Amino acid sequence: MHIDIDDTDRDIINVLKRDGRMSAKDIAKEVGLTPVTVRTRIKSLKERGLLNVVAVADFEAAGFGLVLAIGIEVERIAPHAVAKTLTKFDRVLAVNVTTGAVDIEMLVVAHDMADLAHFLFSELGEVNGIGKLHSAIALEVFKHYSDTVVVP
Amino acid sequence: MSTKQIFDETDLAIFEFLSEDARIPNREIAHRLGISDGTVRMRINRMQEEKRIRIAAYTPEFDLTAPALCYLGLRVDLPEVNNTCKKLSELDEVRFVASTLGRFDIFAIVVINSVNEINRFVSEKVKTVSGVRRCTTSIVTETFKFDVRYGKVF
Repeated sequence: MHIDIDDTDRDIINVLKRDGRMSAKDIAKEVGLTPVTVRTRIKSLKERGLLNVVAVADFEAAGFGLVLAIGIEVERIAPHAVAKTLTKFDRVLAVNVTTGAVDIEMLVVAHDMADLAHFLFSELGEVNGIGKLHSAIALEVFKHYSDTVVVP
Repeated sequence: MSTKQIFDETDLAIFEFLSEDARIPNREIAHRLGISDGTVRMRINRMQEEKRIRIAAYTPEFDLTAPALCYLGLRVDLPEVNNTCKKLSELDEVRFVASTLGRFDIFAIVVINSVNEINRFVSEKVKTVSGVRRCTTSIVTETFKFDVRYGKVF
């Protein structure tokens, strides 16, 4: 993957990965630049889609007691068409088309069982082309590193 | 398992600003919500300390040549599930691991240097972990959604 960033960009990114809320003034002090340069660099990285500093809420703090990895076998129509429809649901955090036993993998959150039932029957139930669901309910999450994004 | 306090209205409102752009100044959030800068600062600090939010700086995989996202589904000797999850967590390639009930005993998401490496990764680094019986892999060919607003915060 060839991406056009230099050592200065990398220095700034490394500081932000440690403390995303650090002020431009403090970052400037740490990497030996002016605050104006730091602000310009961050802006440019963001505009080029190379950096995104955002807050992540913990599943539990956000009230989501259930996390599921659901695989979908698609029937009759193209998996892409189904995947596109699934993106509109708030409960669905990730949608990927995959090779292997299932056509689509999605990550789903729900407040509780009643909320999950509503999602499955009222929302997912309306989507065309869903043949079979293969679920895995997370019992305990051991690792969730999400500081990089892979765009296939 | 620890229990984390659910966001109240103010926490949620602050989180919504930060989930758009976490570089937003405290005073701007304060102004838009009609509360003091100090309250915003205190709330953000507390939510971070209590692991209810974290600030992430997302970048592409700069150092991988042709990064590939893969899903692993494992069948494991049941008494070994927790240990296996911990072992898998130690691998850099592994980005998400959970013990699960259903089609797998363990579900994991990995990022490898290129698609060609998946078989070697599985045979050398996953199947060698004690307790692992079977591992199915599935390679992502296209991503349609990746909502980063929620995750497990450690």
